[in-house]
Amino acid sequence: MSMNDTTATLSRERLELKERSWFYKALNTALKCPYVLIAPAIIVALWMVIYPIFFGLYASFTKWDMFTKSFTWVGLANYKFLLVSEDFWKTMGNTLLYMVVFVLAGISLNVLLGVFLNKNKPAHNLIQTIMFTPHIISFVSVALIWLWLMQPANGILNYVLNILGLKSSYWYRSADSSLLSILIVALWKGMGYGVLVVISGLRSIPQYVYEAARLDKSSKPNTFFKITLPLLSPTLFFLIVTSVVSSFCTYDVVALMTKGGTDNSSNLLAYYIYQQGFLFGHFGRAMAASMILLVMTSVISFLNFKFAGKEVHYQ
Amino acid sequence: MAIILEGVKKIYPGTTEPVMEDFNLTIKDGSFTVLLGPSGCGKTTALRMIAGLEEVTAGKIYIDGADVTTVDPGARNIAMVFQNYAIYPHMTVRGNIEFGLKNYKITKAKIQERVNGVLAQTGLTDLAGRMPAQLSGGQRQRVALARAMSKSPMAFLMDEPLSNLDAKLRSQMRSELIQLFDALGVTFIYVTHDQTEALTMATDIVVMYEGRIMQQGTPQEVYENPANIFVAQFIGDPGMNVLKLKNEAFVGFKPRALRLVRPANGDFEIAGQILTREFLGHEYMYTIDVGCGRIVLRTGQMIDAGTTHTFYADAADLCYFDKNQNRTFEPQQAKVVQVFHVDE
Repeated sequence: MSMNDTTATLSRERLELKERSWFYKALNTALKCPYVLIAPAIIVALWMVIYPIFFGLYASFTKWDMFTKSFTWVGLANYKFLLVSEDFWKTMGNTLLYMVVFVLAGISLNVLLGVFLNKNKPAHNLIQTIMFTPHIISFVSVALIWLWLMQPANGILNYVLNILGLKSSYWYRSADSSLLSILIVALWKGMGYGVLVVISGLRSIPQYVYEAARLDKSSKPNTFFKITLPLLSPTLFFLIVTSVVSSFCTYDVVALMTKGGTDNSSNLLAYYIYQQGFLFGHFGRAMAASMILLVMTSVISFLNFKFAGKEVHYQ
Repeated sequence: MAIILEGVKKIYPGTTEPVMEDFNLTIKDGSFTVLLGPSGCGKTTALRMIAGLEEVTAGKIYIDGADVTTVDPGARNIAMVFQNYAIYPHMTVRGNIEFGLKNYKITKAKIQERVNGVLAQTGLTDLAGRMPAQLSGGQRQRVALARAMSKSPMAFLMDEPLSNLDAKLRSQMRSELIQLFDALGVTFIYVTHDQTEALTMATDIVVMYEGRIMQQGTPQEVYENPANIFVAQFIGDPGMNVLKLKNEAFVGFKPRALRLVRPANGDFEIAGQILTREFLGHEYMYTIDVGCGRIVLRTGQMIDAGTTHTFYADAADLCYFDKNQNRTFEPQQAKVVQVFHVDE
């Protein structure tokens, strides 16, 4: 037997052994059926996403007692309660107003600051870093800072208002200004991240497009509205979608600063759900409100993709 | 519209070394001037300064007699075609052409008339509603040309506009650019490192190297009468063979000027061994080891690699250069010491 023959026999034996192993057989079967390969992902998704949604949907039709773990079928009673509840509608109104202002003001400020800071100079880079800091600070610390700044009696904001000849405000303690207060804090916290995203979007716009615009005699405002904004649209679209979803799910700033405010003046849907479930023990109602929040978020995201998505110019 | 650069100096921000200094150039009215040179020679910088996209550190730029050194690019009455087309990716073909015209405050009817005119001229009428992403490289280049043409500028500036196209399309576009130049009759300034583009299209070639003009002339002048060794070796495929002589002068001859038989007016001979033979289709290119370096021969004659021959050149085909590497018409007689390459 030559050396080559020996090697061939050994390889064949190894191959046969390999073919007999359970792992090889299982792998071979798995490769024939692609669903086996994506099964882990499907199982995790079913367990962590789909099951909770369906569980929540079921629970929203029940009187759910978390302590006795009993579910009493009540039909649409939880939804009926919410639809006739003044507090719920006030909260819904607040949530929509908060979402609109948060998205519009947030994105406008992000774009303005992004355009201003989009220069590769040390001072601009330093401001960018400083602006990004709130994003990495815990909301608890942010809330503490702003509670101190917005102190009605001796807070710095009122001090500044007084210097400017304006009247002091009760900020988060007043029904008139508590929603505005939490908006200011949320915008301040999210600003650094938004600006960073806008700057990266601006930097992805090729310089030659601006040079072509200069040769086309385009004024700076014209270039901004006709070139920069359309080419920034994928970035803005991303920011709109994420801001809408995050504004609907805002909980922490309300919980930490106003707890819904006087007469629900700054109550938002996510905090309302918490109140119904964990403070009042109406888990069924909380689930019904959660379902409404889920539908609202889905509808608005769908509308965003359907309509705003059309105006997005991918390069 | 003549364009003059007078004593221009350019230092890029953050650097101290000027990329060009005391740069003087006159581009004749109605000429097709090609700025030709290797990468980093300053040709694109010169073009961008003419366009107003780069600031001039010192010196003046005149367009049609007016000092435009600090004038905005949009007010210089010029149009530019970029290497990467620089068409607006979010606008249709029509939108790209209209954008500039709207800024020039022309009536809507006139804009439509002009846009339709250039679309027809460039064969883009059927593609007017398409987005740039739906166009091929050649079609995008046409959009860039159409956009430039729509403004009826007094000069077209082109920065390596054909370098992103494949060889076939490049050749076709060269012919179209020549036709466009003949039809419009305005000044064209064209930047390239491709001598074929320069020699085929230009009425005037400006050969540049390290921020300096090495020679300016017609394609024939530059090709046949190089002013210095740089031009002699840069122009031609390959460039001139240049040999350094013992008296520090140089003698040069084109690869096609070498022959195996002593010509009647044979003034030059050199022995060498054929190292390689490359078949080019209509002729062969040989690399020859002449002892003090390697020279190149192009001929239709087939010679075996490895053989040794004596090669001759006609006196009329020889170019002489002085020790400063500038052309001299005084014949130099001295022993060859080295094959010379300007970039070595």
